[in-house]
Amino acid sequence: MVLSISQAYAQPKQDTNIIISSAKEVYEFVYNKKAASVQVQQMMDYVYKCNDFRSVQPVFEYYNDKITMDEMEFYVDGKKNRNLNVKCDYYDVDGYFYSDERICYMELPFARTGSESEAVFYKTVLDPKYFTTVYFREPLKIKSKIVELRIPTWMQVEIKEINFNGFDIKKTESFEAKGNMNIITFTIKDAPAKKSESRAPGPSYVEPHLLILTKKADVPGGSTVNFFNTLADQYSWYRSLVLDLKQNEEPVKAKALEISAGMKDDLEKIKATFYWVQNNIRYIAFEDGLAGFKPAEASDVLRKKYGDCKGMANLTKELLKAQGFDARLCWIGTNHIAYDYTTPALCVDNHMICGLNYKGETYFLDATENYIGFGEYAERIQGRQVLMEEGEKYKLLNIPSTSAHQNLNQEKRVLTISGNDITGSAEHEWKGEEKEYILTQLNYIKKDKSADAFKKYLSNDNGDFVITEFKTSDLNNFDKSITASYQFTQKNAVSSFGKEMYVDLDFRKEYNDFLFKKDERLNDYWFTSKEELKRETVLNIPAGYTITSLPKDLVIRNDFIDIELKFTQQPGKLIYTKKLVLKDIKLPKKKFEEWNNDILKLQSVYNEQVVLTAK
Amino acid sequence: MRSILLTLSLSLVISVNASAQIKTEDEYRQHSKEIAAEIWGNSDPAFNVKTVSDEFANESAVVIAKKFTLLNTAEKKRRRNRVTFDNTAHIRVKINDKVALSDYSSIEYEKQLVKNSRLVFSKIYNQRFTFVGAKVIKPDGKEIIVNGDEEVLTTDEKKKKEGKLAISDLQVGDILDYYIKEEILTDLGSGIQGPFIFYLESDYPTMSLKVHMELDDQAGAMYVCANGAPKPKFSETEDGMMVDLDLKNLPKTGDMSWTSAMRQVPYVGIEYKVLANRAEDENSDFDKGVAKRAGDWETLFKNIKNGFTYSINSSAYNQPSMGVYFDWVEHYFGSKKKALDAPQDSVVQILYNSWLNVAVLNALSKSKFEISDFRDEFEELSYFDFCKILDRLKIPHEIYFVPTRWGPTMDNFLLGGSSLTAVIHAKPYEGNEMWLNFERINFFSNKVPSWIEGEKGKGFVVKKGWYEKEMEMPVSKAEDNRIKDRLEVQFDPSSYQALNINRVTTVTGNYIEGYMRDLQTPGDFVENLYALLNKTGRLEPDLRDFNVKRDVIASVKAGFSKAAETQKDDFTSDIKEWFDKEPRELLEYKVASQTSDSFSFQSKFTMDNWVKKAGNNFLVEAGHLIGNFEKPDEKKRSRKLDIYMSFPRTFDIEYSLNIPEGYTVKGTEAFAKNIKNETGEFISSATVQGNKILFKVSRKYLHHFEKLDVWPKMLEIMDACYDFTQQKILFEKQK
Repeated sequence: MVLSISQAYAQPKQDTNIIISSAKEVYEFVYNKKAASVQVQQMMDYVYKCNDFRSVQPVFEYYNDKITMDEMEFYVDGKKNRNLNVKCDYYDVDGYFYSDERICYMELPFARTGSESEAVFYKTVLDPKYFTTVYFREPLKIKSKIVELRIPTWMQVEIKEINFNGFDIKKTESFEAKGNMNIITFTIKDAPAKKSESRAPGPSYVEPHLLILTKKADVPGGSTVNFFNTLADQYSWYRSLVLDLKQNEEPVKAKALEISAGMKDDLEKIKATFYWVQNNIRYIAFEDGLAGFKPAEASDVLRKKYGDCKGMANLTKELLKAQGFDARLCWIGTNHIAYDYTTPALCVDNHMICGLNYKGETYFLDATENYIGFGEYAERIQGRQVLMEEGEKYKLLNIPSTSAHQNLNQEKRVLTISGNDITGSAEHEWKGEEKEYILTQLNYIKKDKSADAFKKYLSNDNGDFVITEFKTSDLNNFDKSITASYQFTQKNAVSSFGKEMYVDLDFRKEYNDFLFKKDERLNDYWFTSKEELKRETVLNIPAGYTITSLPKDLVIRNDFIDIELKFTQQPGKLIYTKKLVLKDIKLPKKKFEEWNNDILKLQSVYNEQVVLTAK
Repeated sequence: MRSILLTLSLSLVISVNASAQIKTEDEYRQHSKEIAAEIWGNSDPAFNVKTVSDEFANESAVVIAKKFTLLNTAEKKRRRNRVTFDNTAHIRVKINDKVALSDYSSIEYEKQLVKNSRLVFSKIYNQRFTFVGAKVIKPDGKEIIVNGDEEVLTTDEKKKKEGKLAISDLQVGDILDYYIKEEILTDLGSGIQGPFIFYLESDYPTMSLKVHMELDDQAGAMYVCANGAPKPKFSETEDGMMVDLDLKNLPKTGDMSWTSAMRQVPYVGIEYKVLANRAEDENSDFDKGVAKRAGDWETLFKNIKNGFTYSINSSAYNQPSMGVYFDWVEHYFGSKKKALDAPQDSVVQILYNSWLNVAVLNALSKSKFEISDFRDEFEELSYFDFCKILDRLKIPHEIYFVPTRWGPTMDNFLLGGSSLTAVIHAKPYEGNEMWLNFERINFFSNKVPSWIEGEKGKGFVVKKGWYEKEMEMPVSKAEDNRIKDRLEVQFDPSSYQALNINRVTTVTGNYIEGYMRDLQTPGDFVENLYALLNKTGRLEPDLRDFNVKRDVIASVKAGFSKAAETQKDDFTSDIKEWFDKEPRELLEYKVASQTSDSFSFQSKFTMDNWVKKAGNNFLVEAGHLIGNFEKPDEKKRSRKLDIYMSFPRTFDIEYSLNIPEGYTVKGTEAFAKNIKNETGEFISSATVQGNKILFKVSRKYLHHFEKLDVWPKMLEIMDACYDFTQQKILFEKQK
């Protein structure tokens, strides 16, 4: 119920009928003497205008354990309205089993064209650490919006202006003697509505916003409170949460010994431990107050057999530690986040993994990636900066960036023409994230249906493609690449007319329809992961036939993709090789045209048949 | 048996519905412990099974035992109308893969809903508490009880709590044994409880299914055993009645495509009602202490008749706002004639469309501009009012209430369950008989909705005094429900590797509404409706007459424009769905015409990748132009259930493909098919005529239902169709 509300609210129905005619957000740092803490009082005042026809506008605001909802006011055509049906409820955050996020929501009515309604929310951030960003745009068009930051001189805050280019944002600064307060005001004019697009960069890459770095406060009364003045402060806070854990080592040690029983090789033990966590701990995300930052105790995760990334990282670490390995917790921001630890703030990371120092090398183990092998890294963490535990200090490292070769997807086929059918054999191999994709999909399908589903996938959903003698490697062993082999018959794969036979050698035609509507899409496109697709098809030429026409070879190389298609004739056979290497996942919008042109060239090869003619 | 009863009686004293005493979390937990002890302390052998047969090794999960226990008590002294309902589902399941692990990884429940109140000095109870418990049985037999304290509350209010419990320590290979028990205590009497439907097939094979009900002697029950399900055992007890069902080794559900689950999957359905007092005893369909087979036409019809009487008497006919409308109708839709003097068949047609007009005005008055909004409003309009108008206009008619083909048959109808579709059968003195229904919004179409075709309905002949009547609803013919597709296809002159397609599609019968709702703009819909009613340009005055505020009237145009913004996407989606391929470019699109008998639309678009270069020649995958068609796989071929389809239908497709100058054509003969049998046909041809190849395809499914034994005949048609889609034409360069 709540989810459906949130989904509906995420994409308003109209973005031109209702606009935000004016808005003001005020953030004021205050010292709450009673709580003896610095807090941030927020006021969000939004005025909506109806341009075309009578409607309602869903309005909502979030709060949680660290941000209180203090008061709400609503005005309809200038009059305060207390009769609107405001509901405050649990907010079902997508992908989370439970979070402390709450939402207050209601529908503002607009009785006629030109109607104006207003919603004002007052909230308090109980700890300035949690006040990290202010975004300017909304899912509705904004005529004018003011963001005012009121910072007393006793408070040290650094404000970074991010992604302002291309937007009409003006900044003014003033000093208010009464409160001994610096006032920084940003005004954005005529901001178009935010549009959500699939595979777009995260909002911190593209949306105009302020990054708030809360440094420290010389609070009234004389004491100094350090927030995240430096990265050391942030690490120190993280570490305090970890030190707070009451680790029950015994069951963890017993499990570690059980996992590695009979193993002598260290790497074998490490892998077995990593794979055990991947296989046996269900990912269930909790985002509950401090628990959003504090890992669950390893023994607790072990007992429950579920946990979030922090819990899984902590269990991996403790299991490895129990075997004598130097395992550490690592905080990391995935590639959804634009920042790194040069700007210490809680918004710079969103994930936790386990780091392992072994024989001079550092390995990173992310057990939330359920089917990835040891030493393989998911795109979302590749190259990202990690904050690794090192006692009272910390270490900043980077996850290795791997090439597309990590994610090899290889197929070799030998084809023989039999009348209008093709018979043949095929062998496949998947590595890295390609392997993880296959295994994830297979494990979403019930056991009794998974073999059929796998065959259907391999047959490209072609009803005329019949697979026999289907064999796979152990699909529970993801330390190695996974493989599949089979014999097949593809009916009606050959078109025969008179003396000529026409054969389509490319069965899969990857990227064939991957064209961008460049006038419609607003954002860059980020692929899920790099990949290397290798295909080799050997066609046995039937006796009495010769090849009379072939598609031309194609070689394209650019910063994003390598495309190599080759047709090689050998005695009695034709060998078609294809290599498509997606080298960079981030395709900028300005490159869409070039990309489309390359794909059209690929299409033209795909759309050409091999012609065999009887001698 | 006696000792089991004794145990149950004892347990009633200890733990059943002690929720009246629950005021604190501690009390809730204490009672929760009692329930756990009772449920897991039960010595039912089905719940002691710890291994499953190897035959289930490849199943995602196996339900070892599933038991539903429903207990009901009522206050004996009748000072109050107090009743309790204790409903427990207890399930033991072996987890064999990660899909099942995910399915069973958590339990969500409404922990507490308290709506108690006070009346003078009395407390009026109306509350429901839910208790859950789970334990994991490891392969070595070790049992681990999931700690209920690990629940999280997503709603935590004084009177309402909603919770979630993640099942800890659950892994593939384990057995999960869990229950959910709700205890309801209410002083507000009771409505019909249920229907409780127990399907004898489910997602996973089930080794044991038990149902046990104990009903108070003031309760009466109705039951059905549908589609070959066995009858439960009913027995009398000192306090009322017991109902028991005990079944073993139930299969999992198979492929359910082209089926009607409630008519094909065996199930037992039970509903009951606690009767409060003598007056209710006399009027109720339930009899105290009696379990009756449901599906009794007379009982069901009695309720409908009561509702009809009530509605006729409280008809909106006398309400001022509707009165204006009815006057307008009686004065022959605002003209100088009297409707009474006009030909009755045309009066009915106009009346129906003007009734739709009312729905549109209702929607617009609420600033709802989508066609689906018009439909929703249409469905809300009263059949009884419509009958009243027909009566005033002296047009003979009948009204029928009919079960849908996708729900239970009338013989298996439970009162608390499925609904009936109403349909009016107008029989003017002159002209044809007409069928009217308000759940569809294609303009007057004189057809019963597809979902009741062939069903037996019961109704009234509405004259002075009502005469009851039964009638089987007419069934449409394949020719009535037609998709007629006409395409002109040419090579794209710029590349020869794309096809430019001009498409004109006309749909009739049961196809009209879906296409209309997908492709028509609401503004055009209203304009067409007004044209049909000869009221072009009258929308604004109508809205004024309907007391719609001026500002709403002013915004109608903008609302229509906004709603029409998606039309291009709608056409693109339609092409994509039909051909299973997105057009490279949609150049033109429009709805060409809309009448009560047909809906016609046009589009012009370019398709890539259906032309393959082959040396100097071109190979065209011309079979794809009849639309996408999936080949039935082996599982579908070996189906085990009779075939339920939406309606009989015809696909009448013709297209021409231009032959470019300098090319000759080969391969047309492969497009010739001729399959015709008792289930339908697939007849196709491709012939060269001048500089074009003309393709003709007729695919028909003659019936909306077929017995399983003709499935091979249907496969013949489907295989021919699939084979056609795979055929290619060679355009050979002349030497």
